[in-house]
Amino acid sequence: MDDDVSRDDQRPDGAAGAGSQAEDCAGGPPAGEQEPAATASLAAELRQMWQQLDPVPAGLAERVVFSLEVDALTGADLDLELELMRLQETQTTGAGARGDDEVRTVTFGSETMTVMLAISDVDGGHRIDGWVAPGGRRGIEVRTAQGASREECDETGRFALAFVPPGHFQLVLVGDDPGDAQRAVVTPALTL
Amino acid sequence: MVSNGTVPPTGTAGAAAVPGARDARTRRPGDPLPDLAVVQVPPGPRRHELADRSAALFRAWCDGDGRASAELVTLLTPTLWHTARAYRVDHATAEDVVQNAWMALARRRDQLRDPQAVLAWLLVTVRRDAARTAAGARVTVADPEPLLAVSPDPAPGPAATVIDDDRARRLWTAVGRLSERCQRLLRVVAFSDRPDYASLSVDLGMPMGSIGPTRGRCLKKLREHLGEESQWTTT
Repeated sequence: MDDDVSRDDQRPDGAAGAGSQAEDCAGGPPAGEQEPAATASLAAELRQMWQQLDPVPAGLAERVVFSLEVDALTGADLDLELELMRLQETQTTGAGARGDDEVRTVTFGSETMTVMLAISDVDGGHRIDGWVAPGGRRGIEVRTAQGASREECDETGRFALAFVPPGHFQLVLVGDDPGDAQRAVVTPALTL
Repeated sequence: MVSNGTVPPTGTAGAAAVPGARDARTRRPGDPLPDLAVVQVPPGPRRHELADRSAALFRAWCDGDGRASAELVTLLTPTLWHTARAYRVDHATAEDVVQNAWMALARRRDQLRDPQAVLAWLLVTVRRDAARTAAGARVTVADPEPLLAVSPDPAPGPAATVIDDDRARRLWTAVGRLSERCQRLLRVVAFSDRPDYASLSVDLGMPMGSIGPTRGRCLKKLREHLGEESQWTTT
């Protein structure tokens, strides 16, 4: 493709040598007054193009704000080590024609833990059946738009939330072992 | 239904993954599209302003103002999103990268000595996490189709001027013909903060002095691709 552009960078043209301080100003997009108008205009168009065609997902900022409230939940205890999970997979099974039998499976993972959630629709909200691996009893803080509640998973790592209201949703898994107490595993916030 | 970007509907990609796309599409036809010539955004000063506003909000947050953190998140999340997406990670990954950067900042906010650096810190964190993830498993080659114009969270700053859809799409296609490195560089720089070049050079694996020239060559290539389209006129 256009790899000649990359190869050009390898050329020792002195830009990265002794002159690098002076080149500093030319290092990135020059300030408005230095950049040719046509370049500035194309750059501005590019920026606008990305904003229009690949916009930040609706609600992302709100989900972040919701996530940050975990701080309050953990008593802003900055010593508590948080391990952040990532979304790994989503699947939909048994979707009826109108989608009302739909069960969505969402899997989160971190270096030490996996959480699988089966989310189904119930009247006015959702039911969530969860499975944490590795298993073992541990506390689960369930954070929703209506506040936080404390649940627990059983020896096999299973737990069930009979009703979860629509809106933001996040889990904080807290180890019950004394050695684990200073650590919590947090899922990203979702919007149900 | 799970209806956010973190959990895109199964089996679909692109437009369907972003709620609101449909609403925006139905909303749009009536709106007059401003002429492109109106796009006049001098990038330099505005970026400094973003860093300054971020610093002020971050200070307020550290002083216990809860609303300041929400304002800061609203201000910077679009920029962080575009930075993560520059690494061609999929939507869900980009969301996670952005959420995790904020969580990490929240946990460490007492350690960040210079509030002025908060924007740069977030940008570096997002770039490195996205690059790390892109090197791993969950990467899409590219989203097959650009989303239709939605702009649910318009970027902060002076009134954003809409480019008409057709022109935006042609630009998107032309960018897609550039090398991966050019695409990343152009997008990262477009949403970067000016004082951030030192780390940018580390993250992009090029000397600070060659970021500008390389970007210039990428833009030149882009212009060539656009030039092949007879109807393209630069403003």
